[in-house]
Amino acid sequence: MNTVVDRQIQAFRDQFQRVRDEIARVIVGNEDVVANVMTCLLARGHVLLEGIPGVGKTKLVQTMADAMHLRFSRIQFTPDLMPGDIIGTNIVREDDAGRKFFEFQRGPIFANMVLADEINRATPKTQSALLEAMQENSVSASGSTHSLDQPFFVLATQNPIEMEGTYPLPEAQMDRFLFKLKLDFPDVDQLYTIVDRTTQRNEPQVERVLEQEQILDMRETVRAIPVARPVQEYAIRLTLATHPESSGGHEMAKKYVRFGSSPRGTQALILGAKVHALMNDRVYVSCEDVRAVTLPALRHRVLLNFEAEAERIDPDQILQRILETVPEPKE
Amino acid sequence: MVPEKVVRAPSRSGPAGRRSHAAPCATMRLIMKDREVIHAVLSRVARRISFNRALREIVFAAGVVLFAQVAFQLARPTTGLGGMSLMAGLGLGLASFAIYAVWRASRRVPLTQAAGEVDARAQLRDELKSACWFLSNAEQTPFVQAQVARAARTAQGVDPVALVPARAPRSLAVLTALAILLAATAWVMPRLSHSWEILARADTAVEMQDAGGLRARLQQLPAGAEVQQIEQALAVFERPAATAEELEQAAREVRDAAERANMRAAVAREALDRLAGAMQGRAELEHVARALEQGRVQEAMALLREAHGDPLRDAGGGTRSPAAQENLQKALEHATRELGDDGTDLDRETLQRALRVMQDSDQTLQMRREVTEIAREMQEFHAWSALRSPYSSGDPDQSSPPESGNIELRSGGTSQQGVRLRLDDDGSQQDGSGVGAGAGDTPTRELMGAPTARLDVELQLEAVQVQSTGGGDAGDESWFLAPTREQAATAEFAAVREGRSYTRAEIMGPPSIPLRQRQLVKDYFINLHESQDQ
Repeated sequence: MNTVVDRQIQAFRDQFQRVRDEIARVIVGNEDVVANVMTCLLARGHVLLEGIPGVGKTKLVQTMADAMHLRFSRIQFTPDLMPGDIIGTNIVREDDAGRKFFEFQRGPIFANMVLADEINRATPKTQSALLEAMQENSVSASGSTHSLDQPFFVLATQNPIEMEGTYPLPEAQMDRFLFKLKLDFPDVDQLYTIVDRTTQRNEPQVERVLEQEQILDMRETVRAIPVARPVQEYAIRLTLATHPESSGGHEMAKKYVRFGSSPRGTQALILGAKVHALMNDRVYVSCEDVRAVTLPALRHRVLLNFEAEAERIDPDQILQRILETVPEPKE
Repeated sequence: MVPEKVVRAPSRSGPAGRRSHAAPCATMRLIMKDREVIHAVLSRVARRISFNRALREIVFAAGVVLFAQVAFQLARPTTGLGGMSLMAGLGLGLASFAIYAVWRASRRVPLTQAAGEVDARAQLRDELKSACWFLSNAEQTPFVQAQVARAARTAQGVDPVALVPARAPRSLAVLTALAILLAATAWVMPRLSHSWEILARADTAVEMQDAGGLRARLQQLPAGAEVQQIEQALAVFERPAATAEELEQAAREVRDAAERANMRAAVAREALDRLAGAMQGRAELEHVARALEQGRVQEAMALLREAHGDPLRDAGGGTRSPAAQENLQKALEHATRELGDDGTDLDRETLQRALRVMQDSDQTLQMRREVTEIAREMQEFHAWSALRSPYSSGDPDQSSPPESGNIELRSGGTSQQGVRLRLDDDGSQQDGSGVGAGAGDTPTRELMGAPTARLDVELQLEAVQVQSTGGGDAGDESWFLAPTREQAATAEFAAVREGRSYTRAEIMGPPSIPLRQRQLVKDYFINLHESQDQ
């Protein structure tokens, strides 16, 4: 019996690593970001990618879709983008007998992997249409509900600069993303590699190494990982530490945080920790796994106050201090 | 690649997959085996943690007790707490420590805590802690079983001895330092002051023993007012709850008793001197008179008996002779009158009276010596008691040293007042009281400088019968000193003033009395004043 579990875990790790290796053929650096994107996919979550233009956000998503043999669609969000442009719309069709009828024309959201590029450039109305689909895994149009194919995985990108004429995501909408990942600017060596790979006649191509069914199985494996109560307690302590009004709130949180993480933050911690545990060949979740995913899972759920903005305090700084001070449960 | 079989999350219909009926039993056996392995290892770890914790807390508690004892030792000179208090504090501390140790030992380390310790020390990333929790709380899913099995394998590789070694706590160094400090304070503190020497000698056992010895010596003395007074003072000194005022009053009583004994001795010496003077007129008693003058009373009595038999021995038995029944003063008067008359023969009664005067005087002198010695020892006892008393911080007798010099000086001063100082044939100065010299007359004479001529005043002991208030039988005999002759000035005051001129420097300058003798001189004049009052 344990052999089956062991084989299952080994298969999970192999598949995970194969996808990472395949993506690494195209994407230079950002290994942690790739791993975290995979984590979100396997934890049934969605990712908000943030980075300056040209660091490979779109390329990363395209490469992942190619490596995992999933249907991929890209939506470039603009101010004039309408919800129907995402979800789809009813169009009038005419059959052979000349009778006319409505037919639902599926929008680009009906894909396994959706890239919502520069999501903050669309109006809140359009953003809400996407975020509702993310939450419900289904869309409603003209009185009928259409389920989205699984796995359904949204990667939204956001540009931290050029904020004029944009519609920053409301806090409630941000909360729907499991992780918020930041793509750093590549270093010099990585830039050499990028130049070499992208300026030759043949750019590197990825192979499809993971089938849709395998991804679903991996998702099930993640959900089966048990979590002991002390580890859950640690995740809850971390979450409560971000609350300024909580008795367990951290001093920095009390000073700089307006709203702490929601319970979705705790869920994100546990789910991300499960994938992290599997990647480290463990069939249980440890506090170390929780710590590993704390920054991407909570950084977009901690809303800073004016004082923090004035002092240029980053949520990551607060979370780092929380990680340093919140103790693990002894027993 | 699709895995052969995916173990899914548990559902309401039971674990996924098809298994035989025997599989659950085998699974349970495996789980039980893993549970035993994990619990066995964790129990060992828990025991070692308990041991280390108990050791650490024992050392800590012992450190607290030692610290308290060190503080106690340092505070003893100021608080006046004695050896009994120290022992009581130590006993209380040890009892508290024992209760604390038992209470801590009764608290067992839970296995979950032991698992957490093992995880932290062996960097197992919460493996045993999670397994512990799964074993007691979680549903036994395949993943849980796999985790428990892995944890059991890990636990088998854990060496509790290496992981939780029995090591001496770091606070042991502090404990050792405290123990050394305690030993040092116990050895050094009693030697920090002269008074502490007395305190070191007079610890509780020795104190009680000394008090018993003094009381035994007092009981051997003839009953009298002085003995009773000293016994009452000794009772006060022995009482632990005696206040500083009571102790001071008792010390005054002791000094008064010694002074009265000195007075009696002075009168006895005077009587012997008079007797010796009377005997000098008779050739057959000249050697007896010389022995009396030299203070050899016993020898004088022996010489008298040798020459004339033992008149007192013949008078013993039935009814006492008239000479034996009259009081000392009358016997002395009769004896000196008849001995001084050269024309009369010595009769038996006169010799009886002379011998009785010598016996009584010798007894008085011996009693004075004993009383003075006992009073000196009790003065030391008083010094210790004053230190022991919690009220001693405001000791009013700070000006006088706790040594016996005070008593010796007083006795010496008293002797100077009532006893004739004579010049022997060889010219050396000698106090009239050989007994008094042993108790302090000699250093007193030395301190007082050149020998002086005796005062031309004599005191005689006047005995009176104290009438009881009920008008019944006569009470005890009491006494007082009455001057027999007045001191006549040998020089006029004007002549003295003319013969001595003081310069301004002599008047305004510091006194010429050496510093170490000032207190003695002061006490001497105080005694003179007190004696005159009496």
